Amino acid sequence: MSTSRLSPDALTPQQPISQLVVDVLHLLMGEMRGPFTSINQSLPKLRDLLDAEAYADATQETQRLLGESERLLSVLDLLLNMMRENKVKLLPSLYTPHKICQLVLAAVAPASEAAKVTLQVDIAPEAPKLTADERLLIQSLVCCCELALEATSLPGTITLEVVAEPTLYHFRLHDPRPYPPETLATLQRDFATPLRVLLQQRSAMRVFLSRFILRAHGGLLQLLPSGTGGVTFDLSIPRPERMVPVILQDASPLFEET
Amino acid sequence: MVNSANLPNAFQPHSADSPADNRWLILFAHDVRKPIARLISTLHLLNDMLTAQDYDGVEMVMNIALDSGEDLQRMLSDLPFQPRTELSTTPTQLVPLVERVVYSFQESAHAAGVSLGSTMPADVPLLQIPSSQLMRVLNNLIDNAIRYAPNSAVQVVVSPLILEANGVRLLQVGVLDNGAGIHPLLHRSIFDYFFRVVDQKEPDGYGLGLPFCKWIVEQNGGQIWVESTLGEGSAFWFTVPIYPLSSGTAPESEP
Repeated sequence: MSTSRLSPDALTPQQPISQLVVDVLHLLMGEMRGPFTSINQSLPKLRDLLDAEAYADATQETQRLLGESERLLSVLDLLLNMMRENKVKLLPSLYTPHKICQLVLAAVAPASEAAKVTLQVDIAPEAPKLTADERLLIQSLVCCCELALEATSLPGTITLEVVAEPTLYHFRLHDPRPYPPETLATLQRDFATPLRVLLQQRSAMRVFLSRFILRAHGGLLQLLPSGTGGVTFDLSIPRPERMVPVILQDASPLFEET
Repeated sequence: MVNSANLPNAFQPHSADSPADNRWLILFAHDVRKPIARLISTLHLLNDMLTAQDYDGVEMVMNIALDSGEDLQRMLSDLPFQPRTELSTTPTQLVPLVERVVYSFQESAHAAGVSLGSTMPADVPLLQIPSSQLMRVLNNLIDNAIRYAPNSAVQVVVSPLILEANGVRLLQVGVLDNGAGIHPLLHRSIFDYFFRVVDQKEPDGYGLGLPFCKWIVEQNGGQIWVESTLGEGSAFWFTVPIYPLSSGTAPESEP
């Protein structure tokens, strides 16, 4: 045991952000209870693959399950850190956009296969690396993919495009499939609702989480209508040189989005 | 009852769908980290074995992953978690529960250089506390002992003596370590919400484990405290009501 632990010096204070975190947790449990259950239900499937010596499939399933578990833990840690320190704490590293996209595709592969939707990636070969909290950024992208996959039952192709602008990185999820008007209206309403109001309504967890993660990175999430009746989810984060100041920032202002 | 005057805002009664307060939600977020983290480390190991085409031990590793999944499922089925304000009507068997918890921590204890065991008398009475709640108290205390007193001996101890307070018979249970101990000025504060001593070597602490233990124990009619001497170790003791002898209800063995 470290002796520094034994001293009453340097104690952390109690934090006022705690109520907001409680609201986020309510959302998590209300709308994202699914990931907990999904992880638990995937384990017997993995065991069956191992029993059948289907090792290639088992490896793929292990990696998918690992990613899902790590993202869930990152979200929990984000919330608990906010509760403890009243700050949003990111763990940014340098990543290639290609890797981010491949991990997103792997994460949503079972859902996209079930929906008969093909997911494809469009990245310029020269796209530079980006700085982000990888697991949280992927969670944000996965949330948008899930929103798209659930928006309509039509088969089709969704494209994840990466565009590097001088100051911003864009991850654009183009879904040309026409959405039912009521679904589109709900999405547009949720995207136009301030985060704090979404919390009070305890609804739209995926919209909330995705937007909150991007704002914590100093970025934005926008919903853009497409000419086909579908949408483009536009997730933007600053280029690495602009990321540093937002690694650790006060959490409260992030909820005040209008 | 818990005195809510000193609680942070998040834990004050405030919403229609959480009649008492919101602590169960934070407790869930705090406690669910452990089975998920354990699952992640197991899956990493499994992935390494599969990638290296080393299939000999995959069954054993898979069983550990399934155990973590079961822990996760138990916590989910316990939601919305709320320590009972009335006494539990189902008795709990302490011995198999302690054995299970101690077994589940052997791997992390070994990794921290901790020898982990238990000392229990021959006849342990049934307890009046839901087994899932008792398990979470033990989980948090043992986890703390392993993390904060590495390379020590940690023992779960059940006192052979029966205490009595206000006509209620109580059993005393403790988690003891021979680590570096805790400063006397902190003996009360460590049970406060978010109270922790900054230590860069221990980034995972949220200052929530002990307050939640206190909450659960007190809501079930017991008390919790620490006895510690610097340089000698710490003993976290708590008391739990013994199930009344007259009842014939079948015991709740494990959550």
